[in-house]
Amino acid sequence: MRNSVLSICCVALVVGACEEPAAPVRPEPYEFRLFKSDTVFHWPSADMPVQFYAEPVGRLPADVDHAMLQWQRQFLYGEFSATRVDDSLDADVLVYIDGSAPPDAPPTDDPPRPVCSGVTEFPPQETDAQGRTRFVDRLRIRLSWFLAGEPSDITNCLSRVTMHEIGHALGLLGHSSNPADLMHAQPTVTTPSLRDQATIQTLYHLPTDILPFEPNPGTANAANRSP
Amino acid sequence: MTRIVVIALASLLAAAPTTAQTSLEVQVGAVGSGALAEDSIVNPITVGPAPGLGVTLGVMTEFDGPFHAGARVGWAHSNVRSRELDTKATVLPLTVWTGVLALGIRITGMVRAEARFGAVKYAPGGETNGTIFQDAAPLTATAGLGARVDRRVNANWTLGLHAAIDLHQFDTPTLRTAGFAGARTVHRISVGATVRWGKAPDQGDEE
Repeated sequence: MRNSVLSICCVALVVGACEEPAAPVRPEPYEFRLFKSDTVFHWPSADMPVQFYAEPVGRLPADVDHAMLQWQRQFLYGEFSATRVDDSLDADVLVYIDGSAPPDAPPTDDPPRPVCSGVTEFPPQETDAQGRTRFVDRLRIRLSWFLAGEPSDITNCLSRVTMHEIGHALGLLGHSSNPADLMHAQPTVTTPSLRDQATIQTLYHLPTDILPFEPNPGTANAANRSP
Repeated sequence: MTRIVVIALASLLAAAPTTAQTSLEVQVGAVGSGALAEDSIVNPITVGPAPGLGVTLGVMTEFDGPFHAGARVGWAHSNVRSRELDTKATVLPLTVWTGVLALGIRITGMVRAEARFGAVKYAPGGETNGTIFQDAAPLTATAGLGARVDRRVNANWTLGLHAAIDLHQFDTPTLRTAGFAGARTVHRISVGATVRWGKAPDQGDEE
């Protein structure tokens, strides 16, 4: 009797241990390498969390917070994290709005209108003492808005484009040809798509060819970062 | 869940028949776990808790005859780690709470086997965004088998060793959203030492 009960329990455990869900089938990534040079850039794990500075203008800090969170949520295994800092000297990425402050209007669900633009400026590269290729300065994101737009359209556009440009700053150096992706050249969606997710996940599981700017060479920059 | 386990412990104490003896016990040891997720992005990736410390508090009632029952609350802590080729990385700290009821039988004088069932609750620490726990951490049923070797050192104290394997289904909303189809069966193995306080019935397990 005792042996029978134990045998049944053992068989149940072994059978139960056999179930294994398959790894998900992800969409095909779009091009994320640097055009022409075919090099890859992403933030190394030692540089996490990536530190963003947002110029305290209008809704920009909130837009940067939202974008950081949305991109971080595209990962499953802790590959990327980001935080916003108040001192631009502490930052890895600087985010500014060119010109005057945008109109203060709440976001809406209105259809997207192209009433703003953005650019992510990647600094020149150099070879450091260890022979590694490294950016010589911080990354900069510059946003601008157009006077012709309605205030709420400008708010929506800046939020959308901030997220798009932060995608570039994370290392998505190309554009998607699909307008359903946030990394389309003229983004109309408000969150990363499954293809955006698959692309950034792929990127962060490849070795990076370019290292980020090191503000104080010879010091343990990572030691200043919270775990 | 803690409330449920406390009620279960209290019920077991209150319901223990007068012919049985109930004792309190503390188990300390190591807990290991199988992978929580296996994926392949560029290379195969395995993610799971590293071996960690486990502490369990419980009560055990020995009935007349070979049977015993127990109720235990367990705490285990370690880091979730990812492994991709030769690269290992810490994802986040993880605490796992368990509440189990055990029904067992004496195999020989000092050796007991038991079946265990209950619940396991994952409680990740730190930043969960960007991890498999970002939407929720599971609370799920668990079942398993255990074995213990007890040696009574005097009328009230018993020392022992224990080992157990438990299985549960692991799944999170984040994994589902990412395209994982179905839950994964995860095993947890615990081994360690037991200290038990309480007068046991004379079952002939003393030398």
